[in-house]
Amino acid sequence: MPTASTTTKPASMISFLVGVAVCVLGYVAVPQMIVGAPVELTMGPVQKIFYFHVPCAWLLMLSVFVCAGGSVAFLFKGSESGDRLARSSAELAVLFGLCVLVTGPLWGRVAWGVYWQWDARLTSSLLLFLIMVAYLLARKYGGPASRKLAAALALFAAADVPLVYVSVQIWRTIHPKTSVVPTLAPEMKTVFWTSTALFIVLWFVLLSVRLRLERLRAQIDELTIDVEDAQEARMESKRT
Amino acid sequence: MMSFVSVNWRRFALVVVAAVLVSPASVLAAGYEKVPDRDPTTIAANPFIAGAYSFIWVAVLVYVVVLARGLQKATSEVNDLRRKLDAS
Repeated sequence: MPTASTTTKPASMISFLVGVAVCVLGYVAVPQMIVGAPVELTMGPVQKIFYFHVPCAWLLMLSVFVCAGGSVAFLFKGSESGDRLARSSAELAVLFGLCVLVTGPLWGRVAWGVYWQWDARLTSSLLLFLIMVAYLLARKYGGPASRKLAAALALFAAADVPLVYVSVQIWRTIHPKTSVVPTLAPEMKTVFWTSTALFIVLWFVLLSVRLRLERLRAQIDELTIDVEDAQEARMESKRT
Repeated sequence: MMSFVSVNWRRFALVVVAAVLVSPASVLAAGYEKVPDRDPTTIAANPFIAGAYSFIWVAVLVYVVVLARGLQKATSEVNDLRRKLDAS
């Protein structure tokens, strides 16, 4: 019968190898592709931030949706694995949200002349990020009862995602529209989709590692109860 | 009681005088000067692109280090508990 350690070894090896491949691509290949990509006519070279800002924004939205899915499974079916998935993807939402909120203003400084504008897209994205931070804070400091509260927060965050996406269409904003991606030049498309693929693989690797940590923590809880039961049984047998 | 009020009034007067003295400076600091014919796209973009890309990878690296430490700690804790369970 395979033990926990023998079953996790191949999985950890695969995620390690994929992680190394992602790092090589992320540190060497993609930056070279971005440098070699054509310069955009209106914005100039700063448009190249788009090649990693947009994938990060998409992964922020994906993480929030996964978190909400896990939270629904936990709220309505009491699924522990759903709860673990929600907590893991919430961390990724905060990580990629932070990347979006840092890379975007750096682009804005050059393109707009200011780091920040209280524009509908920027404000709704900040709100989404703050809801996910609130989710993690509730999980960390709220005690056992906070799991349901945090799950409800995740649903609010998921409701904000479509608002973030369509904000550039329904409000007058200075942020570029969502129609930018389909209208990219072919050379730009190659760089953009390669970068996006890299970030998606990175997201899967990070999620699988984070889920392994959650499973180990669940195992610790179970083993702690088993150890306490065993110690109690031993004391009982000593007494009798 | 009287001395308490007078001390408070003296402090209040001091704050008002300080605010009056500082206010022209703050107004000057809030003002800005127009840079003639400066197109924002002429700002050198490369440090911004490099900074943005580096930030992402530094953030990912920090997260990976945090995860690795968490995994290490959790694995050793699981092993300890298994040993305790086997012993009992």
